[in-house]
Amino acid sequence: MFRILIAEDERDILELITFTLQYGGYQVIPATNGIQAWELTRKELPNLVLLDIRMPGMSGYEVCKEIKNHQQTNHIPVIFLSAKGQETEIKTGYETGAIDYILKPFAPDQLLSRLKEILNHRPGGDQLTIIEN
Amino acid sequence: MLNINTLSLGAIFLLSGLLVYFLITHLIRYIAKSSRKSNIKYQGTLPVHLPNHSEAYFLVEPGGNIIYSNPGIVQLFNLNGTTPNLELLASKTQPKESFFALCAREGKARFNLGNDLIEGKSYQVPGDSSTSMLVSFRELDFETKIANPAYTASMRNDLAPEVPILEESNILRTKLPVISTSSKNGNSGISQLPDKKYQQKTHQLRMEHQRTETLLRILTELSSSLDFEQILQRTLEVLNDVIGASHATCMVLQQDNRNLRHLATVGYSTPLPPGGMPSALNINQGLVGWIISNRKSVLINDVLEDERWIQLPNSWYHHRSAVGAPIIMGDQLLGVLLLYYPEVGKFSVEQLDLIQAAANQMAVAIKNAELFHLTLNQKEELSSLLRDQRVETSRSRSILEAIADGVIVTDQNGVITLFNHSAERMLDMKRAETIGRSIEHFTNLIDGVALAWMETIKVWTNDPFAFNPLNTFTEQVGLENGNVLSVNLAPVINNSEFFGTVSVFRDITHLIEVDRMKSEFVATVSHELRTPMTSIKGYVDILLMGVAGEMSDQQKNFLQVVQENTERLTILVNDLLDLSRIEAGQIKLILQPVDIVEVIDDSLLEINRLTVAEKKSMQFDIQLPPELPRISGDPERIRQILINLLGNAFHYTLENGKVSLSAKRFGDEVQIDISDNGVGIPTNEQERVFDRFYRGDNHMVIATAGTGLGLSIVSKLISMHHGRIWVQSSGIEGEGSTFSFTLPIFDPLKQTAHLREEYVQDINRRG
Repeated sequence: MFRILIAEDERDILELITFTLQYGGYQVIPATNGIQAWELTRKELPNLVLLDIRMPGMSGYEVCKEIKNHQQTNHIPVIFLSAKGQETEIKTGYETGAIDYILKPFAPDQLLSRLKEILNHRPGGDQLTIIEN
Repeated sequence: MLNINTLSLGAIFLLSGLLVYFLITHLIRYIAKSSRKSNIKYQGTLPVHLPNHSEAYFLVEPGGNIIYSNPGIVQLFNLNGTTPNLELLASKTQPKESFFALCAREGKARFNLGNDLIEGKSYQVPGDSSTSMLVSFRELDFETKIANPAYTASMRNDLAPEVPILEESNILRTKLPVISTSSKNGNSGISQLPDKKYQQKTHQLRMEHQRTETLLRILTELSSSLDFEQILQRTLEVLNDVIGASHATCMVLQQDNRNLRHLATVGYSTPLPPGGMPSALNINQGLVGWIISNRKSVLINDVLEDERWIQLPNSWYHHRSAVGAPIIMGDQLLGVLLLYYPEVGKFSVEQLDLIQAAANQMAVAIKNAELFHLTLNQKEELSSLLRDQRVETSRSRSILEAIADGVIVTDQNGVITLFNHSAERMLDMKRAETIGRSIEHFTNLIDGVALAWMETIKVWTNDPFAFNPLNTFTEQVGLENGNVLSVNLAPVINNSEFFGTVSVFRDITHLIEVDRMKSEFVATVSHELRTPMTSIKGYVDILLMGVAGEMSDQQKNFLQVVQENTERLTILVNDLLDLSRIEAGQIKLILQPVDIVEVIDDSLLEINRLTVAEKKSMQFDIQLPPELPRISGDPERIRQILINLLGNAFHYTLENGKVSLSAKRFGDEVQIDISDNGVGIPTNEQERVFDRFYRGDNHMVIATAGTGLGLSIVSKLISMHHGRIWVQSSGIEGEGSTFSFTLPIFDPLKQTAHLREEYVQDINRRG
């Protein structure tokens, strides 16, 4: 089972995503701010990280940079899930190393299909299976 | 201004002087000619002698006896009371041969007399039995003397009426026999002439004398003042006086060449008003009419017997004799001179001649006055034009100085000619340091963008063909103090000639700050709107997916309403943000060669999803030529344009309607037409469909979710691509409408390095 870390400071939305992902068959590691998100990522090494951008403590961009700057975490795919829709914001998201940028509001089924697409085509997915074994 | 006055005054004096000279020489020539012709009328005329005796003459018989000499001879040859004889006179000349030759036959000779150069002329004076010779002399510098106005004026004093003209002639008449009796040669021709002949000659002499003096007086009058009407009046008075007429008038043809005006009159009870009085007769009527059409002088002994004469019914004057002459200059008839007398047979042919000569001089004076007034008027016009221009220039300059924008003007050499107060303030430079200096002196004062601005000025200045008249240059200049200026540069062109450049600076620091705040606001609003919508949409979607438990059909229906409206709200937020970003210039196109067919296919897939989702069947008719050139554009934005237009066509057409799309090449553009057979757009609404928030009030439009922003965004995106969009619709429901737009064909040569770079970056980013 893939483990996905969700960083989201809005509790309603965190619950929504958690529910959606669990429905999609993923294990969820929730984080409510940026610092917690980075610490959990380092500790738990999830298969994928889903980041909000505007969060207290550390912004999603900073978390993504940390993940990509550390060897033990830089293989983890990062997806931004943000309400920031400005072109420059999206551009910054890609520049920090994310593989996708999903704009809020999102459709739950579309989020699931996107995750499935990414995880099934990444070597990281196999790695996890090995670790679990 | 003063120069013009003195110049024209001088010119008129010079002209008058020349005229006096011309007249005198002309007269002498004329007399010589007529005497040679032995015409009865002019038989035995004498040359001009002037009152100050500068002309000296004597009459010599064929035998060599001087039968008469005038006082000028005594003065000229310095005789001190000695009776002149040929030998004595000849002894004072050098060479004597010239002097003797002159006395022997008609002709002209020059010789020295003391220190003076003398010109002599001789004419034959036919008598009954023998022909005497009239010899006259003048100093050759006389011409130069007479050309001097002061000298002419002094002559005029000599001409005062009390100088008894007749008296001198009487002396001549009484002296002649005395000389002849005292003559040593008893056979001399003169002594044998009958007294009647002498009288006749004396009369002729008197006439010539009078004529010359009158003309001189007229000339003096004509050149004495610049007041034209006064001149004419006084001239006419002199003439009238000399001729002995009772009434005289000088009529001048008006500028329209149709009417005459009396500008001077003599003898009439009422004086003329200033500017004269119109003539009672037309230019083709009466005696005046005859003179004008024939351009000839006329002498009438009795006007009542002359059919040309028209007696004015209410005239108080009973003219009988009349004499008149046209005033002609070259080919141009200027007016008519007329003199009258209440008795029959007053005027003689000689007088007619004199009047014609006076008329000729008046013509010169009229022309002079015309010329003078023309010069005066032109001077006035010119100076008022200059004044107006000066006022206009200083006004324009004041406006430029007072304007809140900084203005810098350079001339065709790149030299700064205007640097206004605002420019001083914005660029923190003093105009004293800038005006009159070349723009090149300031290259290191402002930053790199300013360099581009100065470079453009230099390029335009150095190569007058480097610009086209619509060329402008707009850039932002960041200053060291953090302020930002926008500079607009344009060439100054008049009749396709390059006169320099004008740069207008505007402080946009505040605008940029406002712009930044606006973007920030848009970003915040965007985020704050999307966040709650995320929850609403997400939970509704999940509920509808049925993963949170089964729901009744009614519950599902209600939730679907929520879902649809959330969708609508999302579109509205996205459109609003899109538009505000486009308007703020925040959306930059990523231009690249685009296969339009691919984008069309992509968009049709999206529309297909729409038909499925909305369960509304629609026929799509796509007509694409086998080969379409690639266009230059941002594929994502073109897709947005197509989806919007196709979506509109789909939404505003009834079920089972037809939506057509066709593309074709026109020149260096590709045109795409999207038609439907839906509700159409009334003609009076067509120009508003691209306005923000404008939506028609058709029932189908109202029933469809939309913000009224779609077409506004589409039209902005198309113009960002340098394309055009327009709509055609009959406005009749069922005939639908056609939206057409164009996009430029990709031309590798036109793509700037800048855009290619951006394209490469974009590829890397997406890859």
